[in-house]
Amino acid sequence: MTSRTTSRITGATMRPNRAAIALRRTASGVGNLWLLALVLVLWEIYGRVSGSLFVPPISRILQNFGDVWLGGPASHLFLSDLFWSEVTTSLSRFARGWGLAVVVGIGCGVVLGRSRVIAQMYGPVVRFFAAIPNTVLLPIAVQIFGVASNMNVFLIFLGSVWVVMINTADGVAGVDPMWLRSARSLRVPRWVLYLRVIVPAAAPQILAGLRVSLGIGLILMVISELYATTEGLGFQIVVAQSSFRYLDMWSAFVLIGLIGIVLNLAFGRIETRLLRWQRRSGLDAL
Amino acid sequence: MRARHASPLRRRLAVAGVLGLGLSTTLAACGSSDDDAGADGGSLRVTTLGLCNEVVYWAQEKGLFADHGVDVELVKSTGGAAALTALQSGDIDLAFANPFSTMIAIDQGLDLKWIATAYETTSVEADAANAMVVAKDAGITGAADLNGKTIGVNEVGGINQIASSQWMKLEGGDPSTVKFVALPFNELASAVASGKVAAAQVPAQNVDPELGLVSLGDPYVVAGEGSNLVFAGYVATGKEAKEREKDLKAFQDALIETNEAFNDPANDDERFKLASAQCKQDAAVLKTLPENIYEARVDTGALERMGEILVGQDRLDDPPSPEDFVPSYVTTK
Repeated sequence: MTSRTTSRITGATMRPNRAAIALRRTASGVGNLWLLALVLVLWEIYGRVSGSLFVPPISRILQNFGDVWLGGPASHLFLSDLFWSEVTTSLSRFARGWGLAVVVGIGCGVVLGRSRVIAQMYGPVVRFFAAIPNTVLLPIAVQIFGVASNMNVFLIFLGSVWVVMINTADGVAGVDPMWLRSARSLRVPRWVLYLRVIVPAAAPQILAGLRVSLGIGLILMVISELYATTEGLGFQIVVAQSSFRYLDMWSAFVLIGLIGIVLNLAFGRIETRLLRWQRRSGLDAL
Repeated sequence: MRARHASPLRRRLAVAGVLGLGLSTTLAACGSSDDDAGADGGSLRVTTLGLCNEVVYWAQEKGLFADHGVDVELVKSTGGAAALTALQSGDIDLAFANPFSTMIAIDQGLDLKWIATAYETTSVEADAANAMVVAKDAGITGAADLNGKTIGVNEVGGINQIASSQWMKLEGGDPSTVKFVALPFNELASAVASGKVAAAQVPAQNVDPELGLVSLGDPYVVAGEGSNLVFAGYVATGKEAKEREKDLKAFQDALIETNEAFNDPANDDERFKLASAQCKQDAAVLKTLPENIYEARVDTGALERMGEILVGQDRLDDPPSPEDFVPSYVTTK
């Protein structure tokens, strides 16, 4: 107890502790990556030993990745023209589809969570559509929207919206009735009740749904571009496959994986910030 | 604190996981097709697309493969590129593919040989089996009108896109300005009719006047420049082509005999009945549909011309020579 107090008062005694923590975190981070490193080494060995055109060594894939997706001027952030044309197209579709799914999913989810009657009426419908594999709707989406980005946006939206809606509905339905009664006793306006009590209380579950839908949206972004499109990352994969350019195909996979990691990291940051009250002191902070 | 010391169980699981991963990788590396390819064994696994008029069905039904001393097992595949990929894994012995994809695959490092042709395209527009279809009222009368527009094909980068690009080039259009989009065969004509795409390369029977569609011509007739092109055929790996000469030769001989029967009008009723049973379509309707030319002998000149088309479209730098591409024991035209 004494030493802890001392360390709070004197910065000199604290610094070694911080350094030790940082070192431990770094070591832990490196320790967590050993399996990835091992997989990459085994991949490299397999690629070199088998000489397979279909599974090239990871070193060649990374080299190709640099050639295809990087190598642009500094004004283009060292990214290639292909990157800017294809990735922006794909991410624009993703942003529109997923963004719409978030708005519609949270909106409808709140309504479903707050009204037992509506939940009973529309719950089965939501579960029904959530169970349909959206990729089978691809030909129908082409018939409705034609060969246009709206087709991709629609599929991303349709695949992502249900998980957001269901999680939101469950989160809203599970808000502690005590808090609702307390809020009402304070005569807070209805919109304040939703904005300051219900939605924040359901936020952990809503955000969990958003995180899952993020992955679904990314997968659908690529799948919807495998067919009836003329640009985008998925289209580039199809062109590479049909031309037997497997290095190009693998480097597109690497790029998609990196985009997924970046989006998840960004979402994790937002999630941590939005749920800081929960981490700090639990639901009592409400 | 909790993660600092892994429990013995976790350690054991981690080690088991790593060993499993390493073992599976090693087994996968060791289990390559090189060891599986046998010498002449009298049995061939051959891919099929399940088309109504694939001659292998007739050959199998009539026992022609057995007559030539080879046992053929037909394996469904989703397309030529998938079949060529399966060929590398050793799962199949012969891939049903088109020459363009095969030559591109060779250029990318695959060792492939053309063993037999299945179909050739016609050089006569009146016999056209394919069409570049546009909407009647779209105001498109030639290839140049398609510049900057979207054309539907069944596969991006596939044989139909290559033939369509060549057709545009030879007819005064600029294929580099066109966007090709992949749609299933059965949706191509309706996509043109509804204006989703400006044109589409379709089988000739899909040119439906009731949908308001007209044909600008058969891209293959134009691309052939007065000669037939090879439309599809059977491809083996270089290793199999060397080690299984007897089986592969027997396979082609059986196909040659089949085509003699196919090209004899006296057999039309029987072959359309078989085709009808094969793809569940009315035999009377099948009889009315235009067909490609049935030919199992290999036209090396056509293959050479197709290689030049790929070079002209910057898809290849150096096409395979017929001597390298077609084994010497294969019957040529």
